[in-house]
Amino acid sequence: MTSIVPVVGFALVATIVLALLRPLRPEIAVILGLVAGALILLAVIPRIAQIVALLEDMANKGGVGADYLAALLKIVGIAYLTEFGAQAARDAGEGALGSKVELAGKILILVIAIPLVLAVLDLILRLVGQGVGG
Amino acid sequence: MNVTIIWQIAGIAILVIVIHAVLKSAGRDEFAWLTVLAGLSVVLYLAVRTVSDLFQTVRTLFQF
Repeated sequence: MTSIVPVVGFALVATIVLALLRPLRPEIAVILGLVAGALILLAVIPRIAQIVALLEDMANKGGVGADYLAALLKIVGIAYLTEFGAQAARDAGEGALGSKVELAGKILILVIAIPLVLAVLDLILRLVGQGVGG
Repeated sequence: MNVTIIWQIAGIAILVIVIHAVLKSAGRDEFAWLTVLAGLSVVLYLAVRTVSDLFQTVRTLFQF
């Protein structure tokens, strides 16, 4: 079940078909590349569920708030999707558009990370206040 | 891992290329162009289905 062989075989088949198609019909080749990338990700991403379960377990044991873990997971998901979209755009020769997608992903990640940064800042301020008070 | 969709897209592409060549040599340039457009729409439909599947998976997994 946990095998890299189907992924590599699938990628080889897709690469050969793409190499045949690219000079004849570049627009269909772009779509085929997109589909192949999506299928590879689809085959692998359900495995991440195990890692997510492990992270949740660790967070429960360590007493980390559930909303912090949710923000972290959201950031990881945004990173994956952003990378996928940016690579697809870059694959079609639209490097500028790919960079913009990455920029949008970075901004959205920052927006989600604001509560975490605020929590860290709050903690630091409390510690400093305790130090001064004591 | 679903290889059939790759074969489907490759088959549609080959079909489009052949029909395009035949129609172009027959002097029907506008129909050749329409063939390309139709093939592209079908392929795009397949692609959008797969990509939306991926988005849905990521969304459920990372609790968006």
